[in-house]
Amino acid sequence: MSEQRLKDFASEAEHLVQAPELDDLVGRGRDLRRLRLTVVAAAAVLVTVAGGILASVDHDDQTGPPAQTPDDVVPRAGKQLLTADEELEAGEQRFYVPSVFGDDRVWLRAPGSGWEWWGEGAVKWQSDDTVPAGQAEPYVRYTILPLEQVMAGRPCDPSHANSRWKDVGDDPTTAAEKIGTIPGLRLVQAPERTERFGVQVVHVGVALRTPCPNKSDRNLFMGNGSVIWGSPPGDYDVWIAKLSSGGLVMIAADHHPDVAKSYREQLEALLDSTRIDDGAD
Amino acid sequence: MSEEILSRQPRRVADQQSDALRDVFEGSYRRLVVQLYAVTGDSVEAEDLVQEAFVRAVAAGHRFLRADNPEAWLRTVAINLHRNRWRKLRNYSRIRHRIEEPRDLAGLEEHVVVVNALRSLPAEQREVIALHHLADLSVTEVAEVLGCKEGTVKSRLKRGRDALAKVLGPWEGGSDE
Repeated sequence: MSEQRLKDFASEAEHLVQAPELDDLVGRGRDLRRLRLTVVAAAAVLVTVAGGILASVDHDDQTGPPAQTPDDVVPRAGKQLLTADEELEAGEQRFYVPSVFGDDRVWLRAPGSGWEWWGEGAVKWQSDDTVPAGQAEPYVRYTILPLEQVMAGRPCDPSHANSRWKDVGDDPTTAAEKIGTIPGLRLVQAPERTERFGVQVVHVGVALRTPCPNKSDRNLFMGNGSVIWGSPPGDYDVWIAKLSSGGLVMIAADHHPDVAKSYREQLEALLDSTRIDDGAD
Repeated sequence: MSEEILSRQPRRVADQQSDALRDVFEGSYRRLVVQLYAVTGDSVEAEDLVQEAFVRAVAAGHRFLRADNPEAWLRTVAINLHRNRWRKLRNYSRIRHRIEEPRDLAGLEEHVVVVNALRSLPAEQREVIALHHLADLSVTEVAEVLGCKEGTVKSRLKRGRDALAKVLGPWEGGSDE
């Protein structure tokens, strides 16, 4: 009975499936093939350039090629790589973050394998399916988001329908101060202006230690139609920059306090590789 | 150039590859979607996975067309994509809010009880049921696709069948092979 019902289901369902245009899939496949070839070519250019620079140093020649900028070597089609299901490829590739920032572009480079792009950033888990249920899995996470709102109340609502949010405005310092007031976060380092990612930013450090009574994660940030949750315990470094388009971009790095040092180093490398290419130039 | 001469011209390799791909697409696309529908419990996700498998087949070029069994190649790619996505989504859902209801094929109302019964199974059992009973793979082949031991496949099959039998009725066949 069961087997026959399965077969009947499969037979009926097969008739109901609408096939797409094969030409569309072929086009996407060819794009993917070109993209891979382009990335390989870009990596080859980098190797060649690196070799050239080394050779020029060996010969004490100070008139070598100018330093490479991302624009010189990065394939423009790279933005297709960053869907929510991609694993960032390790190595010298740089990526073009989706154009939610208008003319502003952000470049970053995967520092190793195992970094999963989840829509608004990348996350790497220290262990895979080995942590007992109910225990937090050590992680490092990188978030990049056009920041619009921060949590103001009821942070433990899993659907966030009853949560309260407040706008961050368009001033990076004010936004950083508001982050320091998010329920459940403890201010560790007060907002401070500095330079990072090639632009002026305001940095703030916070810690998340307070679990929700229902064991859900805590709503923290909102932007680009996404709610960013935090899983306690976590330590957060947040940088906020104002873009030429007028909006704010938040780059955040958070990690479980017990995550291995090598993971934190990779997170730092990911941050170091990040460059905001402000469209104002 | 006359038509006769034209007809004797060797067909371009690209055309031959295109024809071969079209044959696979027309013969396997719908079947693969249904199998992945059973695996994922979501028709849209299934279509997405199978389409992505075809995209990767095109990108793979000769490697795909030289495969002994192109449909098996596509199925394995789609399954791997799903398992990768599912694992990531499980992690990802802990840090980013996301609500998605599983979606069904329009017009399949008569069989929705079958789909729901499949959805009620743990993912591991759903995979082996779909691959063994819908894709007609042997236990050995299922184990190869999923990268696990045959004994694991058999035990998942048994648990999955037992659970389905409570909803859909008893199983007729006895052998796993």
